[in-house]
Amino acid sequence: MRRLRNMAALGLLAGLVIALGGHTASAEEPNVTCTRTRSCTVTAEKPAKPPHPNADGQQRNHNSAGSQRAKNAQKRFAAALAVYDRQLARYKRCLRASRNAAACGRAPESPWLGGDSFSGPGNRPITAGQAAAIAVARLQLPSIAPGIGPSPDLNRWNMAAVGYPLWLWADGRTRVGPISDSVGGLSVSLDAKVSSLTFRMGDGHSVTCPGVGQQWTTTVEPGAKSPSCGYSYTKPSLPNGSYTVAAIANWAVTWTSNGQSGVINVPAVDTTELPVGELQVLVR
Amino acid sequence: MPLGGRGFVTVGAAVACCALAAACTPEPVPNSTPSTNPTATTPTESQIERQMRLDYEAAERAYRANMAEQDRLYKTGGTTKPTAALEATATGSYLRITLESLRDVRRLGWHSIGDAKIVGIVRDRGWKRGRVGLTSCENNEIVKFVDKSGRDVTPKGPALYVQALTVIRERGRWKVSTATTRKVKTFEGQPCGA
Repeated sequence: MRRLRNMAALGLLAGLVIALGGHTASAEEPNVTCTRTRSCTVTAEKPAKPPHPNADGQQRNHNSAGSQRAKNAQKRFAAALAVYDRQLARYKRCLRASRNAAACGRAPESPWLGGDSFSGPGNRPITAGQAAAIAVARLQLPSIAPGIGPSPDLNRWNMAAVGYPLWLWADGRTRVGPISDSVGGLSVSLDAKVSSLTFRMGDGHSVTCPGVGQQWTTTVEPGAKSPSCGYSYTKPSLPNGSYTVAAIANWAVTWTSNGQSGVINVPAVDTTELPVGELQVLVR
Repeated sequence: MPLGGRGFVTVGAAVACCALAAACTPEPVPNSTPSTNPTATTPTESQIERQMRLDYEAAERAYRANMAEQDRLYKTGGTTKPTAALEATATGSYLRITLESLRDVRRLGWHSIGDAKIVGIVRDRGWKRGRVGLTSCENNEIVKFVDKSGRDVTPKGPALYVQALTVIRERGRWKVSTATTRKVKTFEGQPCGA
C-alpha cells in the first residue's frame, strides 16, 4: 500500500513538475502584464533553462504536437489580425471623417494572443514587417484622456468660460517602451510615442498639436495662452449641456527587426465632458 | 495561460494519471531485487507533499503581501523608488512593471481609492523547488484613481484580471517574479473564480 501511495505521489509530482517545466519553456513567448492603472506591458523573457528532452520520446511527441498547436495558433491569430486590421482601418476612416470622434467609439482591441506559440518545426518563417505588425498589435497602447486646464472644477461655476484660453495636453502616459518582443523567432524592438494630438473640441472645431502639449498648472498666469496647444471657445455649451471633447492620440510605433525598421501609426481616442458658459461682468 | 503551458499541463496530468493507473496495477517485485531505500537519497512522499504545501503557502503569502503593499502605495500617490516591502515580495519583470506603474501615478499626481480584491487563488501552475505557479483572479474594478483636484481619472478598460503568476524563492524569500495577465469580463468559469 505504501508503495502504491509512493507511486501515486511521484506520478502527481512528475505531472506538476512537467507542468511547471512547460510554463518555464513557454516563458520565451512574450507575456502581457497589466497593472491597476489598466496599463499593460509586453515582456519577453528568456526561459531559465531549455527543456530537457527525455529518453522515451515524449519530447519528440511534444514537439510534433507543439508544431501543430503552433500552426493552429498562427491560423487563429492571422484571422484575428485580419479582423483587427479591418476594424482599425474603419476606425481611422471614421476619425478622419467624423466631426464627433466620440461617435467612432473606442479603438479596436488588438487580438489577444495569450501565450500561443508561433515557433515550431515546419512553420513558415514570417517577415520582419509581419512580425512587427503582430508585435504592435500585441502592444496594448493606452488611450489618453484630454487634459484641459484650468479645470472647470477650480471655479465656483464649475465650467470653462467662453473666450478664456484653455491649455490642452495629453493627460496620461505618452511613451511605451522601448521594449522587445519575439514573434515567430524574430526579435522585434518597439518604441511607441505620441507624435501628435488632435482635439475635437465638441463645438465643431479641431485643434491639432505637435507633441503632447503642456500641462496647465496653478502657477500659470491667469489668462495666459498655452505655448504649444490651446483653444478658446467662442460659443457656450450651457445651458444645453456640455461639449464632448475628444483627444485623439496619434501613437507612432517605431519598430526594428532583423535589420529592418519602420513606423506604424495607431490612433487612440478618449473623451471628456466640458461645460462651457459665458461670464458676464456688470460695469456701473 | 500560454498554450504551450496548457500542453505541458496536459502532458503532466497524463503522466500523473499514468502513474496513478500504474499504481493501481501492482507488479510483482522479485524478492531477489536489491532494495534501495529511496528515503536515504530523496525526500519521502510526505516530505515532498509538506514541502509543496509550505512553498505554496509562502508563495501565496508573498503575493498577498505584495498586493497589500501595492494598495498602500497607490493610495498614497505612488512612489519613485521600490519600498522594502515591495522588494521583499516582488522581483524581475513583475517588480519592474509594478514600479513603472507606481512612478506614473506619482508623476501624474494621482492616488487611488479602494483596494484591489483577490477573488481566489489556485495552485494549478506547477511546483518545483524554489518556484511555484499560481493563478489569481484580481478584481481591480473597485480601484478608482483621482487627480489632485479630486477628479476621477480612472483609466477606462476591463479591470478583471486572471493573473498567471510565477513566484520564485530568492535569497530565502518568496517573490512574485512574472505575471501574465488575461483580461476577462467575468470570473465565471475561471479556475480562480469564486
